[in-house]
Amino acid sequence: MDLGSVSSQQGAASSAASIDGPVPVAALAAAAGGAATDDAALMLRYRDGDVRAFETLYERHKGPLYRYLQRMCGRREVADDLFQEVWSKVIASRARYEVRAQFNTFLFRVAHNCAVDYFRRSGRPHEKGVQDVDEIADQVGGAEHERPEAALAEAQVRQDFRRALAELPTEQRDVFVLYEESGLSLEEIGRITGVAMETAKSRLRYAVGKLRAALKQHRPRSFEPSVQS
Amino acid sequence: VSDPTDIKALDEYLKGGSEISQRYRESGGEAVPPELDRRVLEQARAAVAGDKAKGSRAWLRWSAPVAVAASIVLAVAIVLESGVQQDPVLATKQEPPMRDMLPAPDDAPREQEQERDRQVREQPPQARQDANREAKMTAAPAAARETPQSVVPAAPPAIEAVTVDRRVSLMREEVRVNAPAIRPDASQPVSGVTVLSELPAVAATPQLADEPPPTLAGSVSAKSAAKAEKAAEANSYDVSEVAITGTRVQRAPPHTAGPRNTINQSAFSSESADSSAAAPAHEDPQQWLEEIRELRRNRKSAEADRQWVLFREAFPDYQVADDDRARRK
Repeated sequence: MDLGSVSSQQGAASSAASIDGPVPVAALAAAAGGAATDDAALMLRYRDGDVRAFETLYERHKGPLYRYLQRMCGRREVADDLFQEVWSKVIASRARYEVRAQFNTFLFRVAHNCAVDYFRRSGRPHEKGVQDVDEIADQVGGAEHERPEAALAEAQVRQDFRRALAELPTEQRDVFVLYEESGLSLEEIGRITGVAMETAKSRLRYAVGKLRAALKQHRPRSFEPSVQS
Repeated sequence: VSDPTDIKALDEYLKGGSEISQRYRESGGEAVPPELDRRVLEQARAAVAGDKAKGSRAWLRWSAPVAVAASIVLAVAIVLESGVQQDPVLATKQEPPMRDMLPAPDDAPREQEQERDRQVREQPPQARQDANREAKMTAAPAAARETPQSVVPAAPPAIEAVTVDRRVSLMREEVRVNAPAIRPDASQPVSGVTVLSELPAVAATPQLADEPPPTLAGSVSAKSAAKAEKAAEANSYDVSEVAITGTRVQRAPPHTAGPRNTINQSAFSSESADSSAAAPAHEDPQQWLEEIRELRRNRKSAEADRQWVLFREAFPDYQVADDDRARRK
């Protein structure tokens, strides 16, 4: 299986979806083809003084980046600070920007480094997300309120998944969230995190196993995945 | 050792659309606060505006040196193009005394006419007829001279000017050698300095200046000749005057120098009076210096040196810069 192609398609779709919410299939396909090139072109245009190009670029990447920082830091205030710091560095480095890799790689490398710096400064690798029952209830949709047991079970699944994600070791969570949000290949994720592709893949495998285990406990016996058989 | 179950789960996950991915997306996350959006975009705009301001500041920083450099280049180009000019203050200081010694241009012909009328009135009838004939003959060459002078450009070509200057300088040298033996007619209204200043006018028409007017020599009555000679003896001798009038005086015997010289001088002064307004070449020391510089530029050092000597003799007090190209090295 070609990991790179899968991840790039997935990443392009996710980044396109982050702009305007629901996006038509045709737009997703177009985004998959030329998003990376467009990103680099937009950054070059911004380097030459086109603020509109930066606005487009920002709209395209702000969602994935913000979620990545939220998942990594666990606190909104910290995520806000890091988010602004990342974009400040992107803005400051516009004059030196060269198209050597995807803009996504550049952006998430800056974000990864900012997160690592934050962990070093604060002395704690990550913060575990803690949500109370009221917060879980707020996340439950209106239709699910009509069936309180089902809604509560669904909220419990989400909470366990969040907790499992938050309790992942920082390296594994980093690779997992990067894979989900950036849409980059494992090789590029390894480059961002400063490890080999195999190491990144191993970390991802561990992360997926733990998350799968967190979901498994809420699943009825009849819905056991086929991979176990 | 990798668990085969985990490997299969990873493969399923990497294919996309797995439950883990769905759960991750459902867990969502908060959207970027609008305040944060505003701050980031403002920062981006400010950075671009700073770039533009920095660019204009860089232009301002370089504008002054560029202006100075352009001015220097322009000044050097002008100096190279026009040559080193004398201080105009010095030139104007030198000029007024020269001008003061000159009679008014309109006065010279008038005085000559008056003198001629007086001579004619004093002559007997036969001599008066001769004088009228002489006046007609004098007027004809003068009119002939006026025509080419009006055509002659104000600044003749350098080669022609050099030739004429050399001729004039030879004239001066000849006369200087013979000067003590000559008694020029000092009754002429044109002073020596006047004639000196009008030399270039003669130079502008060299064929006329060198051409001796044979019909004029000796055509004046004996009375006027004796009178002129007497007046010449009474006046003091002026080297500079002789330096100009001597070429023609030299050809005549010493005793007849007076009348011949008188006639020549009158013709000369009428000519020079006419031509002084047309082409005053060496009346202006600055122009003379420029001609010497031109000679040096054309690598005619010998001629330039000779001209420099003549210039110094003609304008001994005229101040010339030590580094002037016209100076003899």
